Amino acid sequence: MTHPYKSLPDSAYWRRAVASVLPANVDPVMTVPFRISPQDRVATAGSCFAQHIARYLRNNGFNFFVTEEAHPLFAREMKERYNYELFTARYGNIYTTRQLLQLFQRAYGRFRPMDDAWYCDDGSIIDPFRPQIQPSGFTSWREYELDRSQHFAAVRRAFEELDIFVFTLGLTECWVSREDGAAYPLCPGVAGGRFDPRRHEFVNFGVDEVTADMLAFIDLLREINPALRVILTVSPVPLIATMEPQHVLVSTTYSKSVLRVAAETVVHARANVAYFPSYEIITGSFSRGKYFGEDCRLVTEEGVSHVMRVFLKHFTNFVDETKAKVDSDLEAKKYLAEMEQIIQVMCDEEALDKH
Amino acid sequence: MGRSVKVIVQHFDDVHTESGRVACQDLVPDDVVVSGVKKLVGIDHSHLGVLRRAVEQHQDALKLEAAFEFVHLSGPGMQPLPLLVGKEEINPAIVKAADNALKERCDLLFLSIRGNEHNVLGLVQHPRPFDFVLPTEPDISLDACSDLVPYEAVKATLARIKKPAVELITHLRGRVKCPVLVLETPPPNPSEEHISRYPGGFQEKMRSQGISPAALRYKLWRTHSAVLKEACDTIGATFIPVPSNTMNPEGFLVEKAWQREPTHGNIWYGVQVLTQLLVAAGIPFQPGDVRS
Repeated sequence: MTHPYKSLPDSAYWRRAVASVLPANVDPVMTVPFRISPQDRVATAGSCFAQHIARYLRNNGFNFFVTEEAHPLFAREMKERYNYELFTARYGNIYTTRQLLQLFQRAYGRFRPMDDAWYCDDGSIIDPFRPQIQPSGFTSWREYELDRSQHFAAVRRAFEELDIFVFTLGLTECWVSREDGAAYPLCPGVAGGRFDPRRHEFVNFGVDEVTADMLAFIDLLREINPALRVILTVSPVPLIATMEPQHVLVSTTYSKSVLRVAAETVVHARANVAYFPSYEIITGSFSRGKYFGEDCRLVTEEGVSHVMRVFLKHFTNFVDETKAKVDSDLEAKKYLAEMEQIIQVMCDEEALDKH
Repeated sequence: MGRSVKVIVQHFDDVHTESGRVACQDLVPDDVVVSGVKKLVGIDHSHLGVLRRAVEQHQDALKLEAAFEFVHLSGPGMQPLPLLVGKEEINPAIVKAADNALKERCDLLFLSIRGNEHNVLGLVQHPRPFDFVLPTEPDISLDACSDLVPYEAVKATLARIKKPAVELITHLRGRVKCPVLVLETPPPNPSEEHISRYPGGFQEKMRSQGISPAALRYKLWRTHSAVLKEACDTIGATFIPVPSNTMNPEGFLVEKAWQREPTHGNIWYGVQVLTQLLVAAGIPFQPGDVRS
C-alpha cells in the first residue's frame, strides 16, 4: 500500500523531526529563499525579542546596519540607557505592524500625528512614539524637535540603504488615538502622557489588519528600495498584560496566532519575504519550557542561542566573531583619557607658571 | 586695624612661603593664624594659581584680616596623581596634604578641584563633531554638521568624569565645620584666534582636529557647572558662580581675563575671584592695580 505521506522527508514527522532529536538540535527550517552575505546591510526592528536578534547579528560578523549610532564619547552603559544601537535606528520597540507602517509614513512626512508630544510636570517632553527612548525625556522642545528630525533622517537612510530587513512581530493589542489613529507603543499614561478615554482607544488587530499593514509597509519600502529582502519572525514573548476581558494566556495565544498567520500570508503574498521560526523554537514543547525564564515569559539566553544558531546555519555560510568585537567603550575611554592627559599636563604647566 | 595678608602655599610634601621653602613639619599653625585673623584655605589643581598671585600682588592694598593657605594638588615636581586609588579611595597623599592645611583651623575653605572636565570633552573638536541643546538656553546656535546628542547624556558623561573630584570635595566638606565654597571654573574663551595662538598642550590635537565651536564650549562649561552645583547642593557646599564682570553678555570670558593658554583665567581674573571670595568671607577689600 502507498499513500502521500510515505514519500515525505523526516522533517514532516513529529517523531523523527522533534521527539527523537536532541532538544538543542531541533531545526524547523527547511529552505530559505535567500542568503545573507557579509556585505549585506541587515536592519532590524520589532518587539523586544528583536533586540536579541540584533545583538547576535552584531556579534557574529554581520553587517548590522546602524544609521543612528551613539556618539563615541558615551560609555557603553550610557548607550544602553539612551537606547542606542538596540536596533538600526533609535526607534525603540515596535510592537505592531500599524506602528511600523506609521513609522515609515511619519519619517517621510506622510503622517503627522496630532498627539505630537507629551509634556511632563518637570518640563521635560516625552515622544509618544518612543516613550522610553530617553530616561528622563527631552529637556526642551528644541532638543525634542531636532532629535526627532535626526531620528527620521536615520530611519529614511535605513530604509533606503538596507539590503535585508528583519522584523519581529510582537503584539496585536494596541492603543491608538481616536483623533487620527496614531498607534502608540505603550498605553498613554504608562511611560508618560495622560490616559484619556475620550482620546485614546484600545484595539486588538485581527489577521486582516496585521497582514494589510505589513503588506502596505513592504510595498512602500520596495518603492524606495526595490532590492529589499525581508525576514519576518514572531516574538515568542507572551503578553505582559491584556486589555481583553479574558485570561492573559488566552489573549497571548490569540495574539501570537494572528501574528503567525499574518506572517505566513505575507510570505506567500510577496517575493523575497522569508519567515524564520524563532517562535516555534522557543515555544515548542520539545524544550519543555526551559527556554523561558522563571516568570515563564522572558526568553533565556539558551533559547536565544538556539534560535540564532539555526538562523545563522540557514541564512549564512559565514560566522566571524572577530569582526564584531570592536570595543566602542574602550574607544571612548581612550579618547577621554588622552584629553585628560593633555589637561593634566596643561594644569601642571599652569601651576608651574604661577609658582 | 588692617593687616597684610599672609600667604602660605603647600605642595604636598613641600610648603612654599614668600620667604622660601620650608619643610612641612616646620609649618606651625600659629605662624599662620594670628589671633583675630581669619584663615582661608584654598585647595585646587590649577585654577587658584591666579588667585594666589592676586593675593600676593595686593598685600599692600589688602585691608583685610586674613591668612591664606593654598594647597595645590599639581605643580612643580609633582606627578599627576589620581584623585582616587584602589577601590575609589581618595588618594592618601592628597588627604595628607589637605589634612595638613586643615588640622588646626579653617574659617573658610574654598575649592577648585580639577575643573577642566568640560574641556576634556570638547575644547578640541571631536573627530565626530557633536552638539547639544542646553535646556536653560535652548536657542543657542547649533552646529548643523554635528551629531545632536542628548543633553542629559552629556551631563551624565561629565558627571562620570567629574566623580573623583566630587568624591574629594565630599571628603573635604566632611573634614571641616566651616563654610565650604566651590568655585566655578572660568568661562570659555570666545576667541578661536586666541586659543589657536596659545593652545598649550592641545597644539597638536587642535592642528589635526580643530577647535570646537565657541557655542559648544559654552554649553559644555554650563553643563559642567550644573553638575558641580548639583553635587554642592547634595553635600552641603556652596557653589560660587564666576564674578559677573568676568563674563561678556554672551557668557564668555571677557578679554581682559584671557590667559596665554586656553583653559584658565589670568591674574586680573584672579583678583575678581579674590574680591568675590572676600565678600563671601565678610572681609573688606579694595584691590589696586593689577600687574600681569
